[in-house]
This record gives sequence, C-alpha cells and structure tokens, in this order.
Amino acid sequence: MKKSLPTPPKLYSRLFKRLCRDELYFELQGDLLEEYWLNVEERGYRKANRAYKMEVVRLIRPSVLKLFQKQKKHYNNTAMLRNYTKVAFRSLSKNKLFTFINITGLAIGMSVGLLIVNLVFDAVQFDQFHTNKDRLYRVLSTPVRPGLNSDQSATAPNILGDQMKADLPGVDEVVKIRRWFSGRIKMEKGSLFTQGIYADENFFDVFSFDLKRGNPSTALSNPFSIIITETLAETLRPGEDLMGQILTIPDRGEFLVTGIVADPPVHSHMKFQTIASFSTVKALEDQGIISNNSQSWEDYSSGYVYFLLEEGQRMDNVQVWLNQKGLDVSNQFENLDVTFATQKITSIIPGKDLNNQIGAELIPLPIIILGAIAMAIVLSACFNYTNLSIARALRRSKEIGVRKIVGSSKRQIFTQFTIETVIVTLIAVFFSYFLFLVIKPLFMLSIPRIDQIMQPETPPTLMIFFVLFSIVIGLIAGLFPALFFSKIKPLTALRNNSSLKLFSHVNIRKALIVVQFTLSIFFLITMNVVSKQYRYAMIHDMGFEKENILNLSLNGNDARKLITEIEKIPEVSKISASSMVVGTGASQSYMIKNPVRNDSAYLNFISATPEYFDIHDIDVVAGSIYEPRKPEERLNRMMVNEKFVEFQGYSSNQEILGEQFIINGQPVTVTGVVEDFNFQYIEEPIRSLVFFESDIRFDFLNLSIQTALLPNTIDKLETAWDVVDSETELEVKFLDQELEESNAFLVIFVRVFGFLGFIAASIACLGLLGMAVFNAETRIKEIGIRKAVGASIGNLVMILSKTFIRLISISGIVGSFLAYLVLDKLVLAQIHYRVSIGVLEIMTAIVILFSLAILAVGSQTWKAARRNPVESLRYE
Amino acid sequence: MKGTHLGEFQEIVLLTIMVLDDNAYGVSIKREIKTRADRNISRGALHTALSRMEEKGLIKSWQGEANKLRGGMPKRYYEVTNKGVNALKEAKDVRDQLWNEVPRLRLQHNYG
Repeated sequence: MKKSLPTPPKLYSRLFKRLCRDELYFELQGDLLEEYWLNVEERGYRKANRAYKMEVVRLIRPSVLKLFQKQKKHYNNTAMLRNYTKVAFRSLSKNKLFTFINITGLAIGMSVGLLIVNLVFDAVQFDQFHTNKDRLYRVLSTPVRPGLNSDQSATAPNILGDQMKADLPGVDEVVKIRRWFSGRIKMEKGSLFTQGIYADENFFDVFSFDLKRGNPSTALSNPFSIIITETLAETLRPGEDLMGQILTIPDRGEFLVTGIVADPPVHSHMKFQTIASFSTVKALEDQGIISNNSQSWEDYSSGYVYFLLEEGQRMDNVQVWLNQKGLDVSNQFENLDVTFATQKITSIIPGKDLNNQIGAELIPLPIIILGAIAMAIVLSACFNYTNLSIARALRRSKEIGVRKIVGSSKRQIFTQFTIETVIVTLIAVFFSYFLFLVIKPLFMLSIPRIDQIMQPETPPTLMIFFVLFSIVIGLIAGLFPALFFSKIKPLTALRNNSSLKLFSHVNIRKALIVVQFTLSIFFLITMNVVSKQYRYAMIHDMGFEKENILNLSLNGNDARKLITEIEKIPEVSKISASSMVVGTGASQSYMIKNPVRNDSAYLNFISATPEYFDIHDIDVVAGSIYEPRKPEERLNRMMVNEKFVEFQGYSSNQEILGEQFIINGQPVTVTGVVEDFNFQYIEEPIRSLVFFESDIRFDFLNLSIQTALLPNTIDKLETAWDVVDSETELEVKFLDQELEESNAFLVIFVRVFGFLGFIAASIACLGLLGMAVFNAETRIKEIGIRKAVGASIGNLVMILSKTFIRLISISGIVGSFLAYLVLDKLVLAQIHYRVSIGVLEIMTAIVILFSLAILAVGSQTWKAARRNPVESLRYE
Repeated sequence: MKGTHLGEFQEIVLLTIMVLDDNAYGVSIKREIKTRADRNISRGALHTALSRMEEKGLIKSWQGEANKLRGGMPKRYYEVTNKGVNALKEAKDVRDQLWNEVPRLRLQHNYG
C-alpha cells in the first residue's frame, strides 16, 4: 500500500533548513519527518503539525544553529597573504607591457580623481568649525523688479533682521551683517586698503570666530568700535598692542580698537580683515557718509541676516513668517516682488549659485559635472584593467586550477585577485600623486577664485583619502576579474584552455571601447569648438575701439585732479573718466522712470565724461554729446543708445531728443543718441544703456595713447599718479588685454576640456593597445596558417584591425553627434554672439583620435603579421 | 571521585540507548523514553544531550541507512562506549552506596 506521505508545515521545514548546520541536517530533519509521519498516523494531522512546529522551534539552539558555528580558521593567513602578494608581483613583472598599460592608464585616470577628492575634501569642511552649525541659518531673498534679472541673493534687508528679533518666536539670536566696510586705514607712512564687515554685537555668540583680545559680548556694542584680525594688527603696527588705540579710516571716521580676532579660518565662507560694530552704520547714515539703506526694504545688495534657531524648533514656523513678510513687502512696494528663504550655514559651500555672496562660493553643479567626467575617466581606466585581466585569463587559468585542487576556496581566489588589483592601484596612485602635484597648480590657476576653496598645500589627512580612493578604485576594477577567476572550474582549466568561456563578454567589451572613444571624441570636439568661440570673441567687432586704450583704475582718487596731471603728458592724446571698462560685463544699473508712460525699469548706465565717445570711437547718430558744464548741471543731461530709444517706444532717434526721464527723483534730458555697441559681455545681447556724467561714479580713466612710446609713457603716468596718490601703486591695463581676460573662462574651458580629452584619449588608446596585443596573441596560429596558405601582410593587417576600425568609426559618429547636440543646444545656446560648429572642428578631433588608434592597433598587428609562420605553428 | 559526572537526563538517555541496543537513533530513543518514563522530551533537548555525551566520548555514532519514511535521509545510530558504561556503573554505585547507608527506619513512609 503505497500512498504519498503528507508534508509537514513547509515554512517551518524551510526555516529549519536555512538555520540548521549542514552536517546535522540529515539526521535531525530525518528524525523530524519520521516522527511527524508516526504522529500523523497516531494522532492526526493537526496534532502532528503542532508537534512538528514545536520541535522545530525547540531545535533553535546554539548547538544546532549555523549562526553559532565557529568559522574554520585559516591559521596560515599571513603566509597566504604573503604568497598572494608575491604571486601578484611575479605576474606583474612577467607581463611588463600589460602592467605598464594598466598602471599608466590608472595613474593618469586617478590623477583627475585625486583632484576631485581634494576639492570635495576642502569643500565639505566649510563652516564646520561653528559650534552652532546645526541651527545657524541665513536668510536669502529673491527680489523681482521690472527690467532687472531676479536671481536669488545671499542678502536680505537688515530691517528684516530687526523685525525677526522682535516678532518671531523660536529664534534664539539674530545677527545683522553689512558688507562694504572697506577703506584705507591710515598708517604712520601711507595707508592700507582693508576689507571688512559691519556686525551686530552678538556676532561672537553666534559665530565661532576666535576673539583673541577683547570682550566678546561688548566689543561690538558702541558705534565706531572696530575689531581687527591678528594679521592686520601685525601689518599695521608690528609688535605693538593695538587694543584701545584709534584707527583712522578716511571716508568713515575714527575707530576704537575693541578686539583682536584670529584670522577667519580657511574654511569659513565669511572672510574679513575688520569688523565694525553695526551701530556704526546708523551713525554713518546720519552723517550722510553712506547712503541710508540699512532701514530700507529695498536694499538687496549689502545686508545679511543670520539667525540661530532655538534648539528643537522646526524651520516651518520661520518659513511661514518669512513668506508673510515677503507678501507684506511686495504689497508695500509697487515695483518690487520679494520672497525670502533660508539656508543652513553648512550648505553655503558647496551651495546654491547666489548673487551678492559675502565671500567664497562653490556651486555644486560644475563640481558634479567635473566629478562625473573624472569618474567616467577613472572608470574607463578601470575598464581597461578589467578587460586586459580577463583577456589574460588564459595564462592564469592553470595557476587557479592548481590552487583550487590543492584546496583554495572560491573566496580565497577572489581575495587573491582583489589583492592583486589593489596592489596595481596602489602603485598607480603613487605615480598619480606626482601627476596630481603637477596638475593641481594648473587647475588652481585656470579656475578663477578656486583658491578661496582649495588650499594649495596637500595636508597629510588628504593622503589617507588618496590611498582609500585608490583602494576603492582597486576594488571596482578588480571586482569583475576576481569574480571571473574565482568561478573557473579547476578541471576545465587544467584539461583544456580553449573551453574557457573567455569570449562570452565580447559584446560588452566592444561596447565599452565604443564608450571610451566616444568620450574622447566628445572632449576633443568640445575643446575645438570652444577655442573657436574664443578666437571669434577676440576678433568680434563689439562696436567700439579696442586698440591703444589704456584704462587706469582710480582706486578712490579724484578723477578731475588726476586728469589735470595726466593732461601734461604729451603721449596721451585724449582722456576720459568713466564708471566701467567697456565690454567686460561689469555694468551698474539705475531705476529710470519714463514720466510719459509712467513706468520705471532698472537700466544699465555708464557714467562718462564727453571725451569717452571719441576715445572709444562710438558714433553719435542723433543730437549731440553733452557739453562740459558746471558740476551742478552735469547730472541733468544724458545720452542713450538706440536700444534705449526702442525700449522706451520712440519711433525714431530724433524723437527722443529733448525728452525728460526721471533718475533718482531728478529730471534728466536726453541730448543725444549713440549707436548700439556691446558694452557688456559678448555672451549677452546689447541692452538699453544711458550715459551721464556723475563724478562720484568714476572708477577709471580711459587714456588714448601711442603704444610705440609705452615704457616711457608708463613712467610718466606713474609720476602723475604719485602727485595725486603717493600711497598706492598705479594700476593700468590695455583695453584689449582686459577684454581678453574677461573671456578667460573660455580659455579655461579649452584648457580643461583639452586636458580631459588628452587623458581620455590616452586611456582609450592604451586600452586599445592592450586589446590589440591580446588579439594578435590569441590569433597567432590563425595568422600563421593564413600566412602559410598565402595571405599577404596587408591582408593580415586588414583582418586583424577590421573590428577595431569599425568600433572606432562607430564612436566617431556617435561622439560627433553627441558633441554637436550638447554644444549646439546647451552650451553655445547660452551665448548671444556665437560661432557655429563646423566640419573642421569635428574632423580634426576624429582625425587625431583615428591616427592615435591606428598607431596603437597598427603597431601590434604589423608585428603579428610579419611573424614567420614557422615559429607560431611549430609547437602544434 | 574521578570519572565523568552524569546528569539525570543524560543517564536516562544512556540507559535507553543501551536498552535499544542496535536500534538506538533519534526517534526510537525519544519514543522509548516516552513509553518508559512518560516523559515528553524535545528533539532539541535530546540533540544537546547526545552531542555533549559524544564530545565526552560516552557514546559514539555512525550514519545508518536512509529510509523512505524519513524523506530519504539517513539515520544516525548511537552506541554507548565502554567509557559510557563505566560512567553509568559509577553513577549506579554511588547511588547504591547511598541507599545502603540510609537507616532502614527512614525508608518507611511517614504517615502523620
């Protein structure tokens, strides 16, 4: 009587199988089953099931569970590790070419990675030194005004801070800060230009700057108190105690030194040389020395509000309050719509792209892009390693077979190959470090203001991260080969090489070669296109004269006085004073009201003397240039450009002449219209512009000179400068030179992408070289037979390189397409006056890469094809 | 007192194995104890006792035949070693001695 036996509760059986030690399982499970079936017969299903469950539960004890099983110990661990290392070095030195390719590729690739590690290492440390960093925030504002761009700003009206302190519960402290406390501090001889901030008296309660001397709670209480940094104190009066002394800052007044503070740490987003008490602002405003802005809701350029959230408080309440404030303010002012937000102090760097930063800034996006590119390059080097290691599996498989037969476990083989890879990456990071030392200064030179974020020196802690980074890279690169090798079956490995499944990943490998070359092509094309844009920007007619104009920074000196001095120099034919260097993008704006249409807009202006137009060769198309007049009448006249005429809705240039507009509450009459010219960057379209002559806005003198006599002229200029200002150095620059500098970011682009392209291309070619070597080696018999049967060298080279050439052609097509799309639709689309992407840029990149690749593949195939077939076939 | 100290449960298991002679394996030991001593022991407790005694060398085991009634899994048979027999005897001697020393009167049940 055969009937099928009932099954006990499956879940419990499975649980038991999972938990029970393997060597006990048969005995115990057998007993359980036997007992179960006996029970079923004697007592029925239900009771048997229950008994079974109970038995399983009661078997859960240390002597049965796998969990408590002691691991078998390999007592010879160190010996094995030593062996792995030794074997690793032997196999590395046996395959010198592959080792060279791997180490070079990884070293080049990792050098870029190290740069990113360095940058991130510095960036994440920012503002971590504040004790209150977890609840310290600042208010951000987004003022929207007609005619002006409405980017988010790090600033907020200071009056918001006052109201916050008074109205908002859940906030411990509010600190108001104002920038532009800059000026020259008088010294015994001459004076020193310093940059500082105004700050509330609780500054030191909230921020953890190290006040060396003075009382942290009262040092910033009284008006005209000043705290200076140690370095500044040492510069001003070396070896002297400055506490309690008076410092004179000409445009600001006399200040009492109430504290000495340690220099702000490198990793502080806020940098200053001096801190003046916030009460000074009010005093200066009352005296009319600075404009009355600290109580204004319309000031979004110089005030900052930081606040300390009460412990345990949520941000929601603050945000609700700020939203309400934003609405109130927007309702109150006709031309202003403002919203407020908050930002944690540790998210300032790296953080959002904001206007009016108080100090350094680091936007994550470029870093992420750079990081992604660096990662792509490092991974591409990793891929070379993986690819070549597996390609070489034929040679190692016997070793692994023997190891396994002698008793190596899968895990041990895995460890062995991982160790081997990590050794390679550690050697590579050593070389990579030297490369890093070479490229870091170049990187810091080419990216503006990066020195505020990155320190030039490399601290020892960073080295540890470098080593860790290389180990991680080693693990990534070694993962696949290690898995592959640990899976090799010993019998197959020892019996017959050819049955190894070596070529199962051929398609993935081909795809990765395509990716590598596509990346290289992309970088090279980008480099070409951007350098074309740069050349275009340099020769682009911006609509004004660039040659032979020397710009002189006034540095706060009186323009008229200097003009009278410089007029005596015969080499200087014409002089004008103005507020900006044309074409470099540093424009200022004013609210200009059209009384007829009764609307206002923020528009760019240039304050300039009448000679300005002649010097820059800007044509007047209607009316005339404002005449030199008495100072008090100057502000009533202005010139506009054609865009302004159009913007204000006049149909012809003649029509606007004599019209009045309101600037700063004053009526201003249009006297003339000038042709449009590119006064901002080349990236921007031409916008509306007005000219008037406001002495307090002058920052530069524009001199038209004869270059032939330059050194002589500069000497004379210096003499003239010394008459007016004996304390500072003369600062002059040619206009064309300055325009070149304002386009410098394009040069950076060219450099960075050229460099990346070079690196990506060299790694890709190294990988290709490795694959070509491998290919020629594995097909050596085929080549021998072909040759013996009568193939020519040319035929053989063709056969061997066919695949590679096809792969590179695919990458060429994909890469150019990708580059064209990204550059044309994303990068160049941002620039108003731009070049188009031509065949030339794409072709040069492809030709460069093709010749490199053919060099790599060709050299190997040529060698293989020329071999005497007798040699390769003899051993058969 | 040298030798191995036996726990009460271990003693019963050892004796049961000896009783079962050739047929001592998990299920049979368990069932025998159930019928003779009316004690319901779990397989887990039995496993612990068996493995401890095997560690001490009181019993030895070998793998037996597989059986359809056990889902095709082999039995493990247990056998008491000489050391185990000695340990049992030692335990019995101790008890016998003690029984002999007990005053006769005390052996009668006290009523009242």
